[in-house]
Amino acid sequence: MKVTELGALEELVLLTVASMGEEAYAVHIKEEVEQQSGRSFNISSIHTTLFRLEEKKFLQSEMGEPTAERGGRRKRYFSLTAAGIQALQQYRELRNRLWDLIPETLINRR
Amino acid sequence: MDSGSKHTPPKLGQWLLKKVCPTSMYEDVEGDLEELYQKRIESGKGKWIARFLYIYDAIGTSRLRSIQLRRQFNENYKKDHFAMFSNYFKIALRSIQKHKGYHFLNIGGLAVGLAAFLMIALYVHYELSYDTWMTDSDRIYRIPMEIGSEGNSRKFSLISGTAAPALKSDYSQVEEALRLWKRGTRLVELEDGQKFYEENVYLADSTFFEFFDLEMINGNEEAALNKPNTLVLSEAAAIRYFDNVGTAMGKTININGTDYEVSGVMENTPGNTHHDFNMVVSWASLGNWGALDNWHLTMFSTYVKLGENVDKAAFAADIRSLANNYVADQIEENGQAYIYYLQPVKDIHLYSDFGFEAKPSGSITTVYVFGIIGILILFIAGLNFINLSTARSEMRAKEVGMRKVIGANRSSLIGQFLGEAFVLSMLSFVLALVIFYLAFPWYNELVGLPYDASIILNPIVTVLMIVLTAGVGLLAGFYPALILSSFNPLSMFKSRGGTQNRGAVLRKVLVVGQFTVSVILIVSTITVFKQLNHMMVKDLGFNKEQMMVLPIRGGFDIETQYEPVKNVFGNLAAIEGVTLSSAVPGQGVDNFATWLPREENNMMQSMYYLFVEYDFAETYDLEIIAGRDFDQSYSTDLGGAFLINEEAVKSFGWSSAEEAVGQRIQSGAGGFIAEVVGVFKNFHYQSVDQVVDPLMLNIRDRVGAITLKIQADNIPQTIEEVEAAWASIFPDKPFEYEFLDESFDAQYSSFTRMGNIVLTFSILAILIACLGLYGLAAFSAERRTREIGIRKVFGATVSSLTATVSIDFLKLVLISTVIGLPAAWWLISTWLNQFAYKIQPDVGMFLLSGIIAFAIALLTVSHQSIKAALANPTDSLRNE
Repeated sequence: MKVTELGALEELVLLTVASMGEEAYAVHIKEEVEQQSGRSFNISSIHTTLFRLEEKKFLQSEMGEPTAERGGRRKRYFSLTAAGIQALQQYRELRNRLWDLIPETLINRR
Repeated sequence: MDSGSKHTPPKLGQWLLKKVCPTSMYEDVEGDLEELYQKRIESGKGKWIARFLYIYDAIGTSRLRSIQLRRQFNENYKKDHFAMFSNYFKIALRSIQKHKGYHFLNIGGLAVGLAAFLMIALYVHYELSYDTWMTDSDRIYRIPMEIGSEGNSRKFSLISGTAAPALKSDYSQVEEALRLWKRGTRLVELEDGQKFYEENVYLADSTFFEFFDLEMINGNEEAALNKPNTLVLSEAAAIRYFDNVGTAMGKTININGTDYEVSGVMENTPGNTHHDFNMVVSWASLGNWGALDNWHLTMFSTYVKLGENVDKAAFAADIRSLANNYVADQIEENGQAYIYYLQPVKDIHLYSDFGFEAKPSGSITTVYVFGIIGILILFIAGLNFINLSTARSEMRAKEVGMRKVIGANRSSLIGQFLGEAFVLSMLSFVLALVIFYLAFPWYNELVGLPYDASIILNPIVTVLMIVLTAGVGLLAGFYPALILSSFNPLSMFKSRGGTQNRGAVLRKVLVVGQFTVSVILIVSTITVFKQLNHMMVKDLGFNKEQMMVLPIRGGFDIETQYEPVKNVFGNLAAIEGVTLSSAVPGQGVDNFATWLPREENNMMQSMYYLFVEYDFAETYDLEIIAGRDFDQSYSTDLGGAFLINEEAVKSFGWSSAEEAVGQRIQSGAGGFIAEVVGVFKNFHYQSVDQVVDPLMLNIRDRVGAITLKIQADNIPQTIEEVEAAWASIFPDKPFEYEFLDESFDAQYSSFTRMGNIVLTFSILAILIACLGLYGLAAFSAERRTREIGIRKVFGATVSSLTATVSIDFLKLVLISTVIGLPAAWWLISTWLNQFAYKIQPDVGMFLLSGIIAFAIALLTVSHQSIKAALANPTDSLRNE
C-alpha cells in the first residue's frame, strides 16, 4: 500500500488539528503547534500548510459565525477528514515498521 | 479579550494584504493577522515590531496564491461544468424559441450553403479523378501527335499503328506499350442467333491489362488477349448476352462475319475513364494487316507506361520526332512535320485538345469555375452565419452583464458563446445532410455522377463536412465571444447599453463580400446562357430539322443495296429526300492527307472528308456558292469530283471560290485525283464551338448512315413506314434511328448542363446572401426603433424613413457592384476563351447584372425598413 506523501510540518499540523477538536483555527493552531514543538512558526507557513492539506483532502474547513472581536469577520475552522485520519495512521504504521527493523542494540544504546 | 483597547493594524500592511492575498482566503486570513497583531501588542512586543510583523505576514500570504490558482483550475474543470451546461442549454433553447425566424434563417442559410458546397465538391472531385484509378496511372501516358504543314497544323489523339512497337523497342524508358482501336458500335451475333448492337467495341494489344487493369471476373488477364480471334467482355455485356456471367467463357460471338471466342469477362469500366470498354478484341485478330505498318495513318490510340524515375521531359523531347527515325524522307517529301507528344493519361479528360476523344471531354476551365462557385457559396453562407450570429449576440449585452455581475469569468463566457455557435452550426450540419439527401437525385440528373445520395456515409465526406461546419461555427462564435466578454458589465445597464453597435465595420465588410460574389454569379449565369443560346441558334450552314438518320453498321453493299435504298425510301410519301454518307454532322469525319497533284505544288495537307452521294448537298440544304452540285448526268462525278467548302478554298491558297472550280486535287484516301466541281458555304460538321475546318465531299462507297428528310407531321407513322422499308432491304439488321437535331444538339448537353448548374447555384448563393441581408436589416431596424419612433413623432414620412434605413445597405451593394463587375469580367473572359465562336461581353450585360443585384437587395431590405417605418411610435418609445 503506497503511503501518501506527507511533509514533516504537514504531519505536525495534521496531528495538532486532530487533537484540538472544535477550536482549530489558524492562529490557535499556530499557538498549539509552537507550544508542543517548542519552535516558532510563521503564520504564513501555517496557512499554507493548512490550505495544502485541505487541497489534499486531509482537512476540511468551515466558516464560523461572524465575531465581534474580529470586527464581523468570520473564522475558518479546520477539522480532519477520514482520509486525513487514514494518512496519519499510515504514517504511524510506517514509522513503527521501520522502528521494528532497527536492531535492539542500537535503540537501547544510551 | 477586552474589546475596549482595539489596536488597528498598519494601513500599509492592510493595503499590501489586500493586494497580495487571494480573494477566497482573504476574510479569515485577514482576521488571523489582525488577531496576531493584537496578541503581539498585548504580549508586550511593542507596536512597531507588531506592525513590522504584520506587514511581513501580509507579504507572506503571497504563498497562498499558487494554492488558489490550482484550486481555480480544478474547479473550472471539475466541479462547475455540468450545472453550467444545462443552464447554457436552457438559455440557448429559449433564445431559439423566442427568435425562431432569425435562427431559422441562420441555420437554414448555412445548411443550404454546406449542402451546395458538398454537391459541387463531389462533381469537382469526380472530374479531377478521371483516369486515376488505374494502378501506376501516374506512369501511363498517351502519345498524340500534331501534323504540321505550311500554313496549318492539326492535332490528332489517334496516330499510326507503328508508333507503339517502335517506342517499345527503341526506348528503354518504355516499360510497356498499348494500342487501342475504337471500332464503336458493331453488330454482334451470338451462337443462338440473337443479334445485338454493341457499343464501345475496341481492339487492343495483349498488354491491355497492364494499362487498364480492370479486374477479370473470369479468365486470366495475362493470356486473355494473346491469341487471335479472342475477345473479352465487360460484365454488363456478358449479362446482356448470356444472363449469367459464368456461362460466357468459351462462347462464340460473331462480329461482321468473323467468329471470336470469349476468353474473359472483366468488370465494367469505371465511369471516370476516358474510354468505356464493353468488348475488347485481341489485336492479334488483325493478323498481318498492311495498315499496321503505315506511319501516315491517324487511327489508333497509343499509350506507353514509363519506368519509375524516368526523366519525363527528356523522354518527351526525344520522341517528338519519332517518325523521323523511320520515314523522314516521306514526311519531308510531303512538306509536313510529324510531332509526337507525351500526354499524361490523367490530363486527357480535362485538358486534351487533340480531338477524336472516345467520350465527351470535360473542361478544366469548367471545373475551376465550379470549384470557385462552390467555395464562393460556402464563403457566403459562412459569412452569413458569422454575421448574423455577431449581430444577434450584441443584443444580448444585458445578459452578458448579468452573468458577469454574478461572477462569470471571461473564459466561461467565451466558452458559452463558442458553445452556442458550435451547437447552432452542428444543427446546420444535420440539416445540410437532410437537404443534400433530398436534393441529390435531382442534382445528379444534371451532373451524372455515379454515386447515389448515400455518399454522405462515406467517412471522408462526413469528416470533411463536420470539420467545415465546426470551423464556421467556431469562427462565428469567436467574435461575439471575445468582444462581448470584454464589456464592462455596468455599462450594460445604463440606458445606452444594449444598443451599442460594435463590429459594424466587420458586418459591412461581410455584406459587401457577399454581394460582390452575388454580382459575379449573376454575370456568370447571364454569360453562360447567352453563350449557349448563341451556339444553339448559330446558323449551322445545314438543315438539321426533320432529318432522320439510320446508321449503317456492318457492311453495305453498294451494288445491291444502293438503288433499293433510294427507291424504297424515296417512294414513301412522307420522305422528301434520301441520301447516304460516311457520317453525319456531329459524328466525326474521316481525314486523309491531301495535296495538289505533284506537277503543280508539293504542299500536303491533312483534310477532312465526307463520302457522300449525289443528293447529299441538296438533302442537307448546303449552299453552293460556286460551280455546281454533284449531278448524276456527269459520269465522272462518281468518284472523280470534289465539292469543297470555303475553308478548303483558303487552305489551298486560292483567292476565290470561283478560282477553285476546276482545280485538281489528289487524295491520300486511295491516291485518286479528282476535280473540284463546286464550292459550298461552310457548315458545322463538327461541334459548334470549334472553328470550321476545310472539308471535301467526294462520292465513294463508304456508307455509314442513311439520312431521310421527312415531313414534319405524323412522325410516329413515318417511323413505322421507315421501319418496314428498312426490314425489306436489310432483313438481318436491327432497325435503329435517331433524329439529327437531337443527336447534334446532344453536343451541347454538357454546356446546357453546366448552364443549369451555374444557374441553380447562382440562385442559391444569391438567396443565401439575401437571407443574410434580411437578417441584418432586421437587426438594424430593431436597433433603431427608438430613433425611428422619434423621427416619426417629428413628422417624418414613411417613405423617408424607409429610405433612411435602407440607404446604408444600398450603399454597400453599390460598393459590391463596383468591385464585382470587373472581377466578373475577368472571370467570364477567361471562360469564354475556350470557344471558337463566342459572344462578346457587352456593357448591357453588366449593367443588367448590377441592376438585378440592386433590385434584389432593395427588395430584401425594404421589407424590414417598411415594417420599421410603419411601426407605431408609441410602442417604440414606450420604454423611455
